[in-house]
Amino acid sequence: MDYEKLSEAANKVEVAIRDNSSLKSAIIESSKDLISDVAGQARKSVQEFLDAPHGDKKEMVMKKALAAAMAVAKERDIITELPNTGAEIAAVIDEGLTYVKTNYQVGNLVLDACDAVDTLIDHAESRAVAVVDEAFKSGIVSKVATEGVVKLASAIPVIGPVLGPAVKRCKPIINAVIKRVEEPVRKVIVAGVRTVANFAKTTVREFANTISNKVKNFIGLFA
Amino acid sequence: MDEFDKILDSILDEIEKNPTSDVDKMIATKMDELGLSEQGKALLSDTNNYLNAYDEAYAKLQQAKENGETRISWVQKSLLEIAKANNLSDEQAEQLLSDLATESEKVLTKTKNEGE
Repeated sequence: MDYEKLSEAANKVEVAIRDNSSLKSAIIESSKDLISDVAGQARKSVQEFLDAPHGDKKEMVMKKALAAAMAVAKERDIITELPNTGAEIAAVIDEGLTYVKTNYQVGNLVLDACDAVDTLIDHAESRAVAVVDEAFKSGIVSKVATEGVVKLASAIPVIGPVLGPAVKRCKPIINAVIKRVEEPVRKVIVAGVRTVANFAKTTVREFANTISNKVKNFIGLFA
Repeated sequence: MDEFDKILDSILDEIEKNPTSDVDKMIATKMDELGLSEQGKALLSDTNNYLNAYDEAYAKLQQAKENGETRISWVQKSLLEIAKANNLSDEQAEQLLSDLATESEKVLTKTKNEGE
């Protein structure tokens, strides 16, 4: 076993996911239609989800409620950009809810921006390990073992969207929470979104020269 | 209010009215009421399985971090354990991790190029 090669690969995963989480935080903050779309009735269950400690069963209740709503939405074709597989839909829910909850905690000063990005990275890398594990358990990639090395992307085509679901796919989740809290709570979330985005931009600056002009202009950092 | 909001609110209504009930049963009944097809139910079941799998992996990572392990080390160790459990050769295990790195970099490149 070449442990140097393994360590290098694991480090590449970490750096890419960290940079992706940071860039997405900057992009979401720039998405005015997301954080200014406010009208809605405040929901007790949503507030309880935001206030519950990490790992509390209220988190899974909210995830399952959203999964059910998305299954119906998918069947009625009422949300564009909804993924086709359970692995991807679960990733969108996991990422969207983690994003909005950590930003709420930052706005409430119970989490700092660095820890918020770190939590997003934790979730992304956990999903990566879980989806590979599930793929082996289900037999999807059994030919890896029997027929030699098969590229992960062809054996598990959802790996990319599970690692880093696109911002546009997470928007309905983030929006669903933001529009179901009281105005002061919404302000706390928006404050958290701005704080995390400003922190994330320090990371984004490190690779600014590799970002397309479209994205640079969108996030307004280098225009 | 759009249709998605109405669907989600009707599910949240049930949860809020019956906070101590079994959420899986409650949602299953609600899905029948909303007329979700068998195919839709299968997708929902698959989604819930992955939600559980992601949660379990996240809990394991948090435990590892509490024990002083780094995230990079946990990812590497976890993938090697999966490789071993599935009788992959050393070369295949290395390829597994290398592929994950390639896919992570592709995801980042996509975000850099497309943003949304």
